[in-house]
Amino acid sequence: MLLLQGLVLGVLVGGMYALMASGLTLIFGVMRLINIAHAAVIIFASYLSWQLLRVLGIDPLISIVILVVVFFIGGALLQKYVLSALIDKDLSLALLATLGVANVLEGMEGALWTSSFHAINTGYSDQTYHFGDVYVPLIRIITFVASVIILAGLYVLLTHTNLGRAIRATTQNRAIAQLVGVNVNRITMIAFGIGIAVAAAAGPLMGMYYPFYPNSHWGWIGKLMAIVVLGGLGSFRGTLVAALILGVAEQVTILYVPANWAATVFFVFLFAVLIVRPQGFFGHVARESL
Amino acid sequence: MNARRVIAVAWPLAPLVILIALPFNGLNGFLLDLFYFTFTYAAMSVGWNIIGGYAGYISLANLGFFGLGSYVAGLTLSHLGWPILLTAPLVGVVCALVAAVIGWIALRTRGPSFVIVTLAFTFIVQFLALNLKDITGGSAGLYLPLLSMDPLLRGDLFYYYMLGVLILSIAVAIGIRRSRFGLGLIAIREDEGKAEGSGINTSVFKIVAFMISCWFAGVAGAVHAQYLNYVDPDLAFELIIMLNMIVMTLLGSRGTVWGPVLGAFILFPLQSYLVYWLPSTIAGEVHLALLGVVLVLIARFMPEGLLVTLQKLIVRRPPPRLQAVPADAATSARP
Amino acid sequence: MTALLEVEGVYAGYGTGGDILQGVDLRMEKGDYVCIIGPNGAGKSTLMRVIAGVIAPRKGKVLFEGRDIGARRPDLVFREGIVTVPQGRNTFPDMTVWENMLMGAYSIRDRALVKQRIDMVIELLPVVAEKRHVRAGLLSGGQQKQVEIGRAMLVDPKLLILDEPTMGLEPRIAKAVLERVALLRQAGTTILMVEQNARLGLAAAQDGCVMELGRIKLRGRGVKMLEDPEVSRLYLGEEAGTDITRRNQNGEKNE
Repeated sequence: MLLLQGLVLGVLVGGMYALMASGLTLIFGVMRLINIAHAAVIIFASYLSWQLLRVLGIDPLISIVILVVVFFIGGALLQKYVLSALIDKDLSLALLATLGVANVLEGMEGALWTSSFHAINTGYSDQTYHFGDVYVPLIRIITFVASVIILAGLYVLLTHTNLGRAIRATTQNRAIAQLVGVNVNRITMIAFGIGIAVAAAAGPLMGMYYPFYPNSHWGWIGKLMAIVVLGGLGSFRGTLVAALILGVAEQVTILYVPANWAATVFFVFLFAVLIVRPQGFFGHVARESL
Repeated sequence: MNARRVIAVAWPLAPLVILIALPFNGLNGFLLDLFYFTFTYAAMSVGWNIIGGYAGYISLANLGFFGLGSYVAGLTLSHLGWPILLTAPLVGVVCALVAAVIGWIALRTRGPSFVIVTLAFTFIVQFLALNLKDITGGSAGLYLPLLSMDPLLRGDLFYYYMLGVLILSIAVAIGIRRSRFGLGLIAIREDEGKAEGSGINTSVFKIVAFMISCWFAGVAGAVHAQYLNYVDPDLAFELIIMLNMIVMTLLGSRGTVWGPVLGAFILFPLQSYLVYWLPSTIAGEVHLALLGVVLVLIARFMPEGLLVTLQKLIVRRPPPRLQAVPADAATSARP
Repeated sequence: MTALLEVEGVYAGYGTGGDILQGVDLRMEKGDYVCIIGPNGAGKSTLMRVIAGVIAPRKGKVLFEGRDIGARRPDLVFREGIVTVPQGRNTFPDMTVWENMLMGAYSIRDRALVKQRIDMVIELLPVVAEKRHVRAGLLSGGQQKQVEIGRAMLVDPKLLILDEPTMGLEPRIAKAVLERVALLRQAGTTILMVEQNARLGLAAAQDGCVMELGRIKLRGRGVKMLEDPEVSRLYLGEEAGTDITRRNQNGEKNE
């Protein structure tokens, strides 16, 4: 029964992990860039959502809508004016620029909100439901459902719209995408913006689920990298599956070992994948370059 | 004898003599510390540059090795009584061996796995330092036995020790730059496929470069543990250390011998002044954010770094680089 | 009257390397079917890339319907009506054949028109319909090439560039692909093709161009060039590239 508990919580948290990691994998796909700032963006959105709730009383689920729009624009601008120029020159510079962005966000959060931890508490934060022997906090159901809805939207966007197909085409073969008339620079900018917007959507959910503080993004980026590597860098579906696997593995592990040791599950998987099958288990998109 | 040539080869002797002579003129404790930190950062940046600049692989593991070095040195001191200043080079060797394993996992393939693995490695070492409480003392850290010596000479000792490590790192960097090994690393950076094609065992080259790079981080971490008489998971794995290695190297000029040194000598004193000047409640945060801004700005507007940019201004001729051979031409050689 | 495509004195190369193209002149009228042959490294593919906008000419002009398209990005060249099928495999491997078709029609907003064009392609290339739900990367080389050509047909190109469409295909499939190309030509498409298999290419095309050392050395009717003893000796004879030709010819006889 304990195992069932772990399984249920694992799937629920895995849904949120999938949302957190999907932007990372999308960005990697179109730009071959590991966005080191990805988790920092998520945490930054958590802080903003916390602030919106505190000052204006805006529910975190509502603030997702606002944050998605703002972060999409911010991400697209960052890509257009900073990253795209670097990508053409030297991918490692773009990587370092995202490292810089991560530190800017972390330092800024520390200066604005102090380095002590914050949590987004709503009226419904503390409710818990029991299904037989399995107990499930309401907040976990909410974050799961919200994550699934957003991911479903992203999936439809990627598979059933011209824009989405162009993003996937650019991911799979940039040169050919250009030869069928895709303005790949513009598509890359939009895709990066979408990746950042998805991170922003994950922020309020993450903040309702876990407490956060300025440098907690480092712990998260490690987990997210493990997920995208297991999923095969750049593969959207692979990332979803990997997030569920690691979510369940983590929650089941927590049942048997002290909670702080459960984080090692991610690193065990990460190293195992890289030793056994560096290209990941599900994807086959990313083969080259940094 | 051509005077220009002598200057071109022997100029480092001048600052070296000055740096050796400085403590004799009664350098105060603050400045001794400032130089000690600058030397430490410079040596680590020169080390980082070997994998990050020469070979072009961004490593985020050097921080992990700095911390690992601190802990290994601290533990051997407190359990076995081995003095850190003697064991530091060996601690560096331990770090280099661990680096070989990490490199084997991450450098067999091209691709993005290196940056991911190196970042994960840093997290893992920090995680173990925090959670293997019986060994490492957890978040409380380890208090180390003090050096039994005249406290007035203590500052001088660390000054000269790290000056020595810095000189060694520069010598190694020059040696690599002039060797076939160094050429191979640069070929890997310019075009790994072609480097492989020309018979370079790229995996071995990259792993060896990574090991050398991490040796310096490990030594610096070991010495720093003794300097603080204390090791804890926050200080030993402070991200600003990682950021500094990278920003200093980039500012000075990635891939050059002297760039990282120049970067360290410019950036560290500036940062000390900044942190001193900022209100202490937000000094750390603003410091971090500003360093991040500097990193983005350098990457965007001066990616070649000061040294190469200045060189271009003076010589008005780009330094020789390996030229990319077009795909078409490569196949055009007829049998 | 201005020609459809005019390449005038084009010099081009890659990166910091030397000029691969050293003054190429090429003129194509509407309805032409030109095949370029020549030894490896002559600059055939480079010329295709210059016209497609993948690399910019260092000197000289590329005029399309009188407009200079020399410095344009590939996607803008595409929107002028020049569609390129490059060497090798160029499908989007993780997308279905159908999605690959839709990507070919990416620049067309009119849904009904897309449907109509896809129907036309299916008629010409039945493989597109048969494998519509299969991921393109799983198809054989010949099938992928047909998908690529089909994808290129969706926009009804004013000029279709085929860079070695038969490379790596077994002779029977290569012939089939060229037969499809001939059908396109009959339907009025202007075609510029590079063909390593010189005999096959010259036999298929209306005009042949011989390219050597970055220039177009001579041009003539494809069939006549096949018969020309000097062309035969120099370009279809004992040259390195033509071993393949031999083998293919033998292969055909064997069937």
